[in-house]
Amino acid sequence: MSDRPRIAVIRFPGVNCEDETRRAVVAAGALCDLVRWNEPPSELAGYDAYVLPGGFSYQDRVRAGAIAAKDHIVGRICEEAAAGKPVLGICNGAQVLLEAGMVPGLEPGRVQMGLATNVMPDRDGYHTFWTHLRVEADGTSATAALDRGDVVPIPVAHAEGRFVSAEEGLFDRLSERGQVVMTYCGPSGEPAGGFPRNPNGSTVDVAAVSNPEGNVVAMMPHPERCAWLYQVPERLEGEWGRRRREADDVAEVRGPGPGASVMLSLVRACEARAAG
Amino acid sequence: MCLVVAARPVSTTGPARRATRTGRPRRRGREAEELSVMRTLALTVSLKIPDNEARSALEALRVKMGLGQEVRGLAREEVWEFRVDEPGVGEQSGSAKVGRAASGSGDAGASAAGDDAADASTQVAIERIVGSTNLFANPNKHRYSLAAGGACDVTLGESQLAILVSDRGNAANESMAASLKRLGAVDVAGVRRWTRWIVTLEPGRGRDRPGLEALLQRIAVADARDGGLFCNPHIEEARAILPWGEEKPLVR
Repeated sequence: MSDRPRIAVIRFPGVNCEDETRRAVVAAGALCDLVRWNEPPSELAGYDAYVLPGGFSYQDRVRAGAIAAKDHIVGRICEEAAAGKPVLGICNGAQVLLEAGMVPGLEPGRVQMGLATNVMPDRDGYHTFWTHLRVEADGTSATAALDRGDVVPIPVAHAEGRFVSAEEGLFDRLSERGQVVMTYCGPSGEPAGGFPRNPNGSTVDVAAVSNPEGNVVAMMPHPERCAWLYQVPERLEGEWGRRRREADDVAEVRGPGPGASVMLSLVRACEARAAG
Repeated sequence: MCLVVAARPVSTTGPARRATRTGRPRRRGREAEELSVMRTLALTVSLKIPDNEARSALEALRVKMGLGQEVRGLAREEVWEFRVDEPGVGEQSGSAKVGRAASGSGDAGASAAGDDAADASTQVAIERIVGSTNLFANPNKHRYSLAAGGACDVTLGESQLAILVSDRGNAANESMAASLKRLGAVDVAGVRRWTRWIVTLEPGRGRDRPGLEALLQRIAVADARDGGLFCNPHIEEARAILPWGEEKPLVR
């Protein structure tokens, strides 16, 4: 029996990033299966962590993430998360976690936030762009292999990625409690200063949020799309763009990209939990 | 190939009742012509092919949320509210102010006299835009109707209620208003898109006010994982229309 953690990537109807997410998780050192949304929820018990990948679960019908959040399998993931297992929601997966009330989870099960339509100057709708993220909270399921203040470039691709809440002062409370995991920033970690570095108008530049325990993280950017250095464009500003430009052999170009650290964090979180 | 499609109003079933509107001025006749310069037009668009989104939502209500046969049916309409602001309305001739209710399945040709005084020129311009572009409706799959009034103006059967949901601060509304102006509907001051869910309940359920309110609590507002479905209160506004026409704010 392998001592590598077993991670389930949940395949809802309409998601489209599950295969590359699975590959990125495997590259980080875990065993990984795709688990269909209509498998018996009890199937999930044997896994150490769960990833809800990006895409359009249920074709975004009613509202992004709304129908998947009512699925029985998400109910089971809520229970496993309450027992401490790591859960990572990426893009549409983040929308599901918010709609299920798993994040920010100050009152578990209650929906305290939404991911609203992008607000951008002179345009609306779907937007895809390379963003830089500053790590604001380490030790979570998405940042256990990173340090606070690290800057990682990861692309976004969404139409509804603006973290908002009708609860007054919620984001201040989340910041104070270390639940704002990542914020959009400039290539050197400087404040985003609005569009385009904050690509969607998200409140206080929030890109990723966790529950109070840090084992459930909802993030809008797609780490699986930059898990290898060859996925980083040479024109990208900052350290990772420089590394890509200077990479001069195939092995280096096929080495880990900035998104690999997020998947490695998930694996580390599993290992830390197993170690007690 | 010439495709001839008969224009007809969007059908309704069951005993129809006129919902009242609140919170929005609705002036009639001469007084309206002299005083009112702001009017609302509503374009209702629905699919004439099976609506998979409504089927998915119905499945979620019945199976995932456990309502079973309490909910007998679900229909979805898109309602575009146009706020029309025309200075000097009262100075124009009465004949130019006849409101019309137009409907179609792709052509905007048919119209009938309506009971509201709406700005005919703007309405005609919107009809032309709706009929000649795919901005709001695709004639291959949608039917639509344009009339004076707002998203809350809906006819319901005695076992039906409507839930209206609209994004707060959706920039697409501004884009649509700009497109309308560019295409000739220059008096359109604002656009707001609503999704109108028409829920059909088991027979007799529509007369039970406490029961209806309890049901709304279960299905309308997604304030918890075991809460409703249609409106996330952090990003959307919602209202309900009860079977007898009463409007009930759900999320402001």
